[in-house]
Amino acid sequence: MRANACTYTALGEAFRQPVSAVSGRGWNDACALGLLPNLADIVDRTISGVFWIGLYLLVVLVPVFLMLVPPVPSGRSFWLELSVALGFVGLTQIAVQFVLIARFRRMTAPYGIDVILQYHRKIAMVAVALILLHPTIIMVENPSRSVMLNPLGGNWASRAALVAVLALVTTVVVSVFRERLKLQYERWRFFHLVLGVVALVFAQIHVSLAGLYINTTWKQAIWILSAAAMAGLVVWIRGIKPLWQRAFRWRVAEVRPERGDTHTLALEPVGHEGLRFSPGQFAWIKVAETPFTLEEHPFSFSSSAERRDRIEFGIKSLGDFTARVGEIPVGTPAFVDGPHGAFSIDRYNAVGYVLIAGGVGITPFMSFLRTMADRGDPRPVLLIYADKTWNGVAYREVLEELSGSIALDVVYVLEEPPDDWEGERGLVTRQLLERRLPEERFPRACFLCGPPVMMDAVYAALVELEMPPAQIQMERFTLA
Amino acid sequence: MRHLIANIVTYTIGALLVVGAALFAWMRSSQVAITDEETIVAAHAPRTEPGFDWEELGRFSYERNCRNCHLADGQGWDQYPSLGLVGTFLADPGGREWLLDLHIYGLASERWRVPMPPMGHVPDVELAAVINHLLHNFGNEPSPAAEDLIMPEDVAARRGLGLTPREVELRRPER
Repeated sequence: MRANACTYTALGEAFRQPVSAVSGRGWNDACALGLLPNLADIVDRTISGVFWIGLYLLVVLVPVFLMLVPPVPSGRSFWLELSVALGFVGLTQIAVQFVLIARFRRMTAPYGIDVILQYHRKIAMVAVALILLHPTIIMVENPSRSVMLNPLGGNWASRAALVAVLALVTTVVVSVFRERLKLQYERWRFFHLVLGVVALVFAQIHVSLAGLYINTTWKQAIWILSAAAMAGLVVWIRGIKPLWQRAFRWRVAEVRPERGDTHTLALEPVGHEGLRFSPGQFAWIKVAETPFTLEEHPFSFSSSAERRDRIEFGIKSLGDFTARVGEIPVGTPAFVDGPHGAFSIDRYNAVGYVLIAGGVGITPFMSFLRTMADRGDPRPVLLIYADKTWNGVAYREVLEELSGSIALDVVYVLEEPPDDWEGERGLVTRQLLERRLPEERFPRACFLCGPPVMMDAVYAALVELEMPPAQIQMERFTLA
Repeated sequence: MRHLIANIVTYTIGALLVVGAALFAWMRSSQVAITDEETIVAAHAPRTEPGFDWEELGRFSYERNCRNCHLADGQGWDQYPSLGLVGTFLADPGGREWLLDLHIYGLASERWRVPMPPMGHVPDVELAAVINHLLHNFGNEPSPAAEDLIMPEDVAARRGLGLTPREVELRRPER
C-alpha cells in the first residue's frame, strides 16, 4: 500500500521541517488539507521507483551473464553469440512480464499500475523483436540452418522454439488486433494467459534441450526454477489470490442509473472493514458468485475516499459487461482487487486543481470532489467537463450540490448543445482553455481523464499554454 | 507526466537490453569467462612434461567443449553425429591430418547440416588431449597404440593453414 500522505519517514523528515515552518499552521493540518506538496512521499516514491527498476534490470540481465561462469563452451563468432544473447534477454523479458501483471501493489505503486501495464505492452513488442532476431541471425550466419524452420527438419530443441515463437507472435497479433478480430475481452484474456504460459514453457524447453549454455546442473536448475516460478505466478493470480479474495467478499448494495448511459455501482463489505483508497484510484472488480472468473473489469472509484464501508464506481455502458450493469440485482456478491493507480490529488498535492473530463472520464473526479467535500478541503477547483448533450451529462446534479460545499467551478463544454445554451460549445480547444483557465494557473495541478484523442489534444494545448508537463497528470483507461 | 517518464524509461530499458546482449556476445566471442585467476592459470598451465598426461585433461576438455552436442556418451543426437567412427580415420591416407584439421578449422557438410564449430582457440595440449580422449572412448576401441597418439606438436603442425569449414569438408579422405 502506498504511504499515506502524512506518514513520517526518516527520509521525509528533512524535507518537512522548513516547509511546515513557512506554512504557519501545524504540519499535520496543512498536510491533512493537502496544502503542501508532499515532498517526503515524492522522495519515497522516487527511491522505491529506482529500486524496482534496478532490481528489474538485474533480474533480466544476470541470468544471461551467469552463463559466463565456467564451465562454459568455447565462444563462437560475435554474431552467433549476439543472437544467443538476444534470445536469452528476450526470454527473461517475457518471463518478467508475469511479474508485471501480477498486480503486486508495492511494486506498482511508485509508477501507477496503468504505467506498468503500458510498459507491459511496449516491452513485449521489444522482447518479441529481439526473440525473432535470434533465429534470423543464426540462419543468416549459416543458411543451412533454415531447415530448422520446418518442424520435421530440425531437432526437438528447434521444435520447442518454433512452438514458443508461434505462441508469442500469435499473442502479439491477437492483442494488437483484438478489437478488429472482434474477440471478446474475457476470451482474449484467456488466450493471452494460455499462450503466454505456452511460450514461456516451450522457450524453457528449448533452452534446456539446446543446452549449450546451461551445461551444468546448477545452471539448468536456476533456469528451470525461475521459469517455473514465473508460470507459478499465474497460479497465484488465478488460483490463490481469488481464494484469498473469498474472505473479503463484497455485495452489491445499489445500482443507481445516472445520466448518459452511466450507472453507479455501490458495493458494501461483507464481514470486513472495507477498503481504504486514494481519491481517483481504481479497482478491478468481479461481480459474480465466485472469484474464480476471468470476467474482471477495472473501474474508477467515484465515491469519497473518506468512506471505506461503501464504495461506488461510475460505469458507462460501452461493452458487454458495462451494458449489463443496470441489470445486476442488489445483493449479488462482488470481489474487489485494489486500490490501484496513481491518478490522485493525494499524490499530486497543489494549491488548487484544474480537472478536465471527457464523458465518463468524470468518474475519478467525482471521487476527488466528494473526498474534498468530506474533508472540508478549501482549495479551489476548476472542472472543465466536456460531453455530447446536456441531458447526457452524468452527475451534473451532484456537481451542482458539491459547488455549494467546496470551492468548485464547473465549465460544461457541449458538443451538441441545446438551442438556448449559453455556455461553452464544441471541443476543449486551446482557445477555450486560454479563456477559462484561472490566471494563477501555474501553481495548480492539472488532471485529464477522457477519451485518448481528447487527452492528447488537451495535453498538447496545455503545454502550448505553458503549463509545465510535470503538472499534468493523465489517466489512460485502456488497461486491457 | 508519469506516462512521459514511462516512455523514456521503456526505451532506455530496451536499449540497455540490446547493449547487455552485445556486451555478452563480445565477452563470449573473446572467450571471456567470469572466473578467478587460479582457475585460469590452472587451465593454461603447460602440461607438456615428459609422459604427456592427456587422460584427465581430455576428459575435462570433452565436458567443456564437446559434450553439449555429442552428449556424455559420445552417441550424438539428431544433427550431431556420434563419435564412434572417429578412430577409423586414422587408417585412411591423410586421415590423421584431416582429423586434426576438422577440430582446428571446423567442418561444414551437407550431411549433418549443423556445422562443427572451429575449435582453434583450444591450446595444442588440450586439443591433442581431447582427440586422444575420443580415440579411447565412445566405441573407438581398439584404441590406437601409444605411438599413434596425437601429440601437441602434431596439432601445432596443422595450424596456420587458414582453412574454412567448407574447405575441410572438401579434404575429407576418400573411402
